This record gives sequence, structure tokens and C-alpha cells, in this order.
Amino acid sequence: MELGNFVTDLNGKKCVKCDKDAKFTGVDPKKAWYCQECFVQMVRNKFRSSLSKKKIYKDADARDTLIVFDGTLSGTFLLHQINDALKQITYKRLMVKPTVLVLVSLTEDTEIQMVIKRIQEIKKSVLENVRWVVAHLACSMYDEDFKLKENECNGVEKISDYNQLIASCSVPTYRKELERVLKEKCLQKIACSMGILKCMVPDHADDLGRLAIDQLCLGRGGSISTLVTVTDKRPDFMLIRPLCDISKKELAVYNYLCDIDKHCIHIAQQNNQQKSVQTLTDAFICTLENEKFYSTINTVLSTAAKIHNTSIGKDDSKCSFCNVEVADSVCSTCSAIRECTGDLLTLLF
Amino acid sequence: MSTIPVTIDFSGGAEFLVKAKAQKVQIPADSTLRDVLKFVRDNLVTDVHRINMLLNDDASEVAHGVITLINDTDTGLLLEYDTVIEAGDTITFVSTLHGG
Repeated sequence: MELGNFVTDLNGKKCVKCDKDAKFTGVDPKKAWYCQECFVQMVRNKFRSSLSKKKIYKDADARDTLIVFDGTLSGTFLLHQINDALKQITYKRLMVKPTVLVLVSLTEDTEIQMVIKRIQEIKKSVLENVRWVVAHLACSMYDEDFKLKENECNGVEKISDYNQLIASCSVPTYRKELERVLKEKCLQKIACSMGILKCMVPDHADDLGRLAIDQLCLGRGGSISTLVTVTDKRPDFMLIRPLCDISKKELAVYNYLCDIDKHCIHIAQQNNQQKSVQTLTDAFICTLENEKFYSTINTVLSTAAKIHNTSIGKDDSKCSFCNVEVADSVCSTCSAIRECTGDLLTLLF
Repeated sequence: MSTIPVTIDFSGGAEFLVKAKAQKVQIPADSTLRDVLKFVRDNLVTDVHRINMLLNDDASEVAHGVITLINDTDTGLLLEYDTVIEAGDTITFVSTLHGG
């Protein structure tokens, strides 16, 4: 679909918040444009309002929070927002007691050591007075409580088991979904082992919009609201997504303007383009955005937030693996994943 | 052919695909942003195997996920790829595809 000769020439436009010349736009360049200061403020506002609207930190007893840093631009943004919030730079002090969890997905020992070295440099300037823990996604493979160690990457001894489980899943769509669910399991196990009830993840709007479509395709339509909105309550901990209203573009420009993109950890990207529901969703969204349908993600997310399952799950029955509301103990997608992986996944249930 | 001096800056991980993060170069006068993309492909990119993370196949547009700024102004607010570059301009490429 083409939009004809649509050209955005907004040169000379003023910021929608003040009288200065506009320099940046939000997701859709036709809707709102900002000067540099107001753009930065707008992105910060989105972060803080997502937390304040839900009153997540009204309870004084539960302020311990795991802040996930995965080296991405959204992880870097989250780290700096927490840093600023604790120092009262922009707003009222955020009543949170953070512990930074550096989540590693690399498997080569030399690369993991490189990450640990970079973390030592980063924590000299960001959240220098809080506890930092480094853990591999393979921590999801622990079957019972484990003690986290300081100054090393936890879970490395489980990397081969983790890789074996992922490799045993022959269907690319299920493999990617298994990786996503294992990441949540990993966060849950680490949070539980530290006695922390809240976990803040750096999932931004672009990620979550794609996730919503993926989950519809995987038959989890009734649960997409909890998977893409700010709070996601699990039996023993809560996932918080404070960047759910911020697009990847907004994060990238913010990081560039505030000169914090130097704290991203850049790793070589694996160009694995096996066809799957997730890659097709990504291609679908990219095509729409290239054709200037900029609000696709916003529309998907605002619709997804309104979809709730009313017919099942009233008795709080949830899938024992992915935690979506189901009538049975395991949802159909997880059953299919279990069939793909055989006995390996059964051990984790 | 007369030339003009400009600065081309790479950020957000795009700097790993080129010679240096910020480079002062001479480009032909009256060049548009689209001409600059071809200049970048022909003169600045060093990691040719991953050039698709910065530019599309024929360097007529940036890759999906790369943001372009001229003098710290989003090109979506200008004439996008038809924006004419002036002497002393700074063109910035911010990647969202790297990291993590």
C-alpha cells in the first residue's frame, strides 16, 4: 500500500510544548513535534507516569526491585532513569531500592568476560552504590533455589543444558517462544532466590507490539493484556514494564541526546533469519512502518491492553510453564513446545 | 565540481560499521541526504558484510531502525531524503539495531 506523494515538510514548525523550533518527533512525525528539551522531558514523563499511574511503589514494604540490564539501548535508558530518579534529578525521588541484574545471553567464555569487564566500567558512573549481579539466561535451568555469587557470571555451568534444550526444539517459532518463556523463568528464579518481589524489565513499545501479535498467533489472545502492559502479576513476583509506552526510536534519540548510548554493550548480532511467526511479524510491522503507517504499534498495544479473558481462568488456573490463564494445567502452545523438546522440558515443569 | 565541508557522525552502534565515529568530509555542493547515503556507502563503510545494518541494498534509504538527523534535527521534520545539505552541516546516523 502506498500513501501517494505524502511528504512531511514541517520545517519551521514550533514545538507543541513551547515556542522553540521543533527538532524531534514522536513515533508519528505528523502528530507531534518537540524542541530538544521538551522531547527529552516527554520521554522521561512517559517513564515516570507509567509507574505512578499504577501506584506500584505505594507499599513501603516492597520497594526492593530487580532492574534488568541487558546491554540494549532500552536497558541503558532504564538504568539511567533509575539512577536519575534516586538522585532526584528530574522529579520527586522514586521510592525504589534497586538491585541491578545484568542478564547475559552470550555463550562464549571470552565474550562473557568482556561483558563483566564492561560492567565494571559502567557501574563506576551509574548506580554505583547499589548491588549489581551478573547472571546468564541459563539460570532458568536451575531446578531449586540457588545462591547468587558476586563478581562472576552466575549460571554459566548450566549453559550447555540451556543450549541443549533450545536446540532440541526443532520448530523455529516454538524455539523463539521457548527462549522468551525461559527468560521469564530465569528472572523469576533469580528474584525468588534474592527474596525480591518486583522485577523491572526494559521491554519497549516496539518489542511489546510485536509480542502482542506473536501471542495472538500462538493462541494466547486472552492473556495478551497482561503480557504487554505495565504490570504483570505472577504467583510469587511482579514483572514491571515501565518503557511500554516508549518507542525504540524515542529511546535511541534520547540516549543520543543525553550521551548515554556509550553505556550500551554492543555485541555481534547473529543473523538467524529462519522463518517463524516472530520473523514474519517483524517483517509485517517493518513493511507497514516503511509505508508510513507509523502508529501501527500504538494501535496494536492500545487494543491489546483492552483484551481480557472472561471465560476461563476465573479459578486462577494458569499454565504451569508460561503462566497464561488456561482451563488446563498447560496451555496448548506449551504442550506443543513440550512435544518438540521431549523429556528435556518436562524436567522444568 | 565544487565541494562543501560536512561532518558525518555515527552513533548507537553504527560507528562499528565505519572508519570513525565522527568524520569531517567534503561532499559535492547541492548534495541531498540521499547523495550522502551513497557517499557513506562508497567512502566510509568498512564492515561491508554488515552494511545492511546501516543502508538498504542500493543505498537509497537507511536500513529500517536507523534514525537520521541533520544538525540534531530529525529528517522526518525536514524533506527526508530530499533535504539539501549545506556547508558545515552535521549529519548523524543513530542505530537502534545494535547492542544487547
